Amino acid sequence: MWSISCFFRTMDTFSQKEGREVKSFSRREFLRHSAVTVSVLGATVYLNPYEVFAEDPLKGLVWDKAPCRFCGTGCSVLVGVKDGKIMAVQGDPESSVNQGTLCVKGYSLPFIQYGKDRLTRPLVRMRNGRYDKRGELTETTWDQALDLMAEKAKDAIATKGPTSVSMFGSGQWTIWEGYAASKLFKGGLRSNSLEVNARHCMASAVAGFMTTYGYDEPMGTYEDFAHADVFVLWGANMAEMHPVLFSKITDRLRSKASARLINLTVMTTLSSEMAAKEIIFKPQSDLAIANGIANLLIKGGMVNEEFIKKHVLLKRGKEDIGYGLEDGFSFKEEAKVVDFDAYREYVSKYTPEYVEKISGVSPSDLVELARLYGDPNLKVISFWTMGMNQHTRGTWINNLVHNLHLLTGKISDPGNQPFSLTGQPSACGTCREVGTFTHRLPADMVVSKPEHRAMAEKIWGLPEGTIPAKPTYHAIEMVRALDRGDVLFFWSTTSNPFQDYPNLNRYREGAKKEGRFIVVSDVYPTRSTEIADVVLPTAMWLEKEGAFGNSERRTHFWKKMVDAPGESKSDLWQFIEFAKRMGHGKLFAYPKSEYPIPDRHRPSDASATAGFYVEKALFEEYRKFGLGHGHDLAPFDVYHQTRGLRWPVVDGKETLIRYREGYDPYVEKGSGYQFYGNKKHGDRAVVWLRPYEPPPEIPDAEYPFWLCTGRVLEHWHSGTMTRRVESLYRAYPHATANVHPDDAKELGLQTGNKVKIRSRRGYVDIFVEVGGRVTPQKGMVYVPWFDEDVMINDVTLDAYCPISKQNDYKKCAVRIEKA
Amino acid sequence: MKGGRKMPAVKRMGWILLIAMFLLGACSKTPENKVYREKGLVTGKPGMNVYPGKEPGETSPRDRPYAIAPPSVPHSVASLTINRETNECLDCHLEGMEVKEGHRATKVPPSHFRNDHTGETKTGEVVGLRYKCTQCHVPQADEEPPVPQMAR
Repeated sequence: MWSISCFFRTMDTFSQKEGREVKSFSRREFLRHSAVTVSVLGATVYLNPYEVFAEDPLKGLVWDKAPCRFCGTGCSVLVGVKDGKIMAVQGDPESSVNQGTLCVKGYSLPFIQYGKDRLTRPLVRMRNGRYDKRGELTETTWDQALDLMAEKAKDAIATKGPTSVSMFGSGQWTIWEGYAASKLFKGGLRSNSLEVNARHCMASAVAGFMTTYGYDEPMGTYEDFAHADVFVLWGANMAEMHPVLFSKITDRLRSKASARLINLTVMTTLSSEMAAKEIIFKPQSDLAIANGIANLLIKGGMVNEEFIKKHVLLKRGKEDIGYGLEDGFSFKEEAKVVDFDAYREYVSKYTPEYVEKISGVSPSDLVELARLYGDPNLKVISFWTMGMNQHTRGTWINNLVHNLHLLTGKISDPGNQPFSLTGQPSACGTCREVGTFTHRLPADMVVSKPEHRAMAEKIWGLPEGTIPAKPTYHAIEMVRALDRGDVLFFWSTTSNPFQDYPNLNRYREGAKKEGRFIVVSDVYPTRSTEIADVVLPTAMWLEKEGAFGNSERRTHFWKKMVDAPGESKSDLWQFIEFAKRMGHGKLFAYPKSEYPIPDRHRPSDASATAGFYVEKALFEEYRKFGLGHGHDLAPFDVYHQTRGLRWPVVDGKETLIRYREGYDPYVEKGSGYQFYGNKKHGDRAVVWLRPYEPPPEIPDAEYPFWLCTGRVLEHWHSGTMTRRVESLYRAYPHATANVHPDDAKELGLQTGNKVKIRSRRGYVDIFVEVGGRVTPQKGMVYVPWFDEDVMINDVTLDAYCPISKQNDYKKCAVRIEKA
Repeated sequence: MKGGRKMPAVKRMGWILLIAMFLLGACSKTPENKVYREKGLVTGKPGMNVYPGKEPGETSPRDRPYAIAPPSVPHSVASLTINRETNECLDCHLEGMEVKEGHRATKVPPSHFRNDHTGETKTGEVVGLRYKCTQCHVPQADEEPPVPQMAR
């Protein structure tokens, strides 16, 4: 009771500070407020006084706020601009996310827009002055590039239908860019061939939330960190991938002696250093571990029977589901409701001894995990990200971890939460909330439901039956279709598909085939631009007005602060200009009088061209999708005045805990909890019966090692931004292959030896590092994928979770050959 | 354009004229037809990460990228422990200890002893959010990136 009332106090203080107060701000008050903030900040060297500076190093900088461009944490940064250039950043003390701190990537933000090889002119592959797939990338004009794109898209539609025109975006899109893409593709071109790299990133988390609660995204927020006793990392190396969130765990561990971190992992990482216990498990065996914990909870009488009785439904799904390795693979869930006895029986085979056999985790460790989850006096947060999501049973393991919180009732309670972390700044805000996947529409709606399509058509002012009912290609199937020739037009933006896709050799070759037309919107030359037919120079981050949504449902805006170099244009501008050429310009026509560009506002290229405030028009329209059913967003202007707000925002108040009475305005009085995404199940969350299943490719005599891929602290994704920042490049110049000391000894390898890592699909040349920052378990090699000279995805396997369609980048079989 | 064989001067003049005429014609439609040749970050060679300056105090940190950026680490951090109880970075840096004659470790600044959001302050101990030094302070290899940063 004490901790709950304490939490309330924290929330109140917090919301007065950020959320609620600003709602009452008039425009004039906000301007005054901003002016004060800016002038205070301008003089406030105290924020980071590493030294006493002879001269004020921040002199003459004009400051404004923005979310960081990198991971899904969503840190707020204060950006100092001078002479049209970003000169400095500092962690924003006003933001409850990062509380004035940043990570090393965050501090590199002033440089990410200024690599020497910024693309500044549209490029078309040409020979003898005209487009030629076998020609060379040649500078051209926007008109020529866009006209050619429209011609090729129309050709594709004429030959193979609208679904052969596709777009591959990302969780780095701003909210309105994703929204415009969705409107253009689903409402204009009538093609559901719209996907995002978030499919590779958190689709399993989405499928987990949707199948369990009926609505996507975590119920808690970062406020929960300060209330937890136990943090369990399920295959997430937060210390490197979400450093600022990890520092919030560290903060809790340092301030409460009894708080502890358990690192469930396949390798020793920097996250292990802070852990009370590191538990190494064999790849894929997390499924058995979660079921093993559930079994012990039931056997030990540690389940919360009252919570289960009132708020939980049990279901068993289809179990022989495959791995998506073949083209055109399809899956349909067949789930049936079961009772608790059936569940008890189902998990009873996952005894500590059986789990040990599969996972290598000792029975005593499993018992301890069960005790931590089961003790009613301990508040537990489970964290996960790519380890659980990039998994051929990604949806299952997501379900199984939710199970632990539902069985114990440790959910939607301060400090008790299942918490998925996202890798991209707007994987939540854009991909998940706008729904930029082939099967989705905004606000957790889907194209396959007639009432959802009808709502979208109404909001978009389109005739009934415009939006196609059938999803087409998810990410992997999209490039398979490109290879086969079912997709003829492929437009990639804010992502780097031809470095990122697994089993890359096939898909790079597929894209190069005659008749495939590849458009890449990007900032720098990449592994994707090198095989593109058209390259569009693109404005990024502070060169446009934007909005991101982070891992805790926080929608956070920023304003355009600097101009883009050369002829670069934002994605939004590009989509609207392309739409006009495809005869869909009216989708982006809004009354100018309703959305005037405010005075003293630096309009984006899209707004400047349109002559009205396009971002506002799109966002206000987009809001309509979520109002009144648990996805409410605040009016556009409010977000420019805050450090973001966590939806649902109802009556100007953000929601810190969903599904819980007293915290969530959607939960009725007297109900305690309502998982209202599952109306059809009487507002109950689902505990799923899911088994352990081995992965499709397991090390054998020929390919005896597991390959696990991932990231490092200093580099983000394929490294196109961070490797152009001198200090980050020098901090971690190259991808190396981390191996276990015992394996190195057996193979006669030492740090600095060059090897080939080879799978059935391809190989890379790479240098070995024995141990190092990451020490994989014996029998495993770890390679990050940021390095353009180590194309590790030539080696990885394109097997995916049949439910979420998310690829498993963490497990395939390789051998290590001495060079 | 690939380099070709040598050809007689007259013939070459003819070709040049022809190409010039063609280019002039093309120019009326496209202002420039410059072939794009940037290679980006691709060097074709994998590499090793080697950080110079083995011992603290042997070398000075590089200049910061901008005045308020966190300073980099001029020594190896591989063997340093930062766990819940022990922070070997702070052993030297908390007070700016003299690690070698004439070389003081960079002293942890006042900002690290408070949380500007919550108002929490600490004495003789950095706040939890700033405890993990290597989140921001990282060593630097002695290498130049394939693509330089633009001067701003």
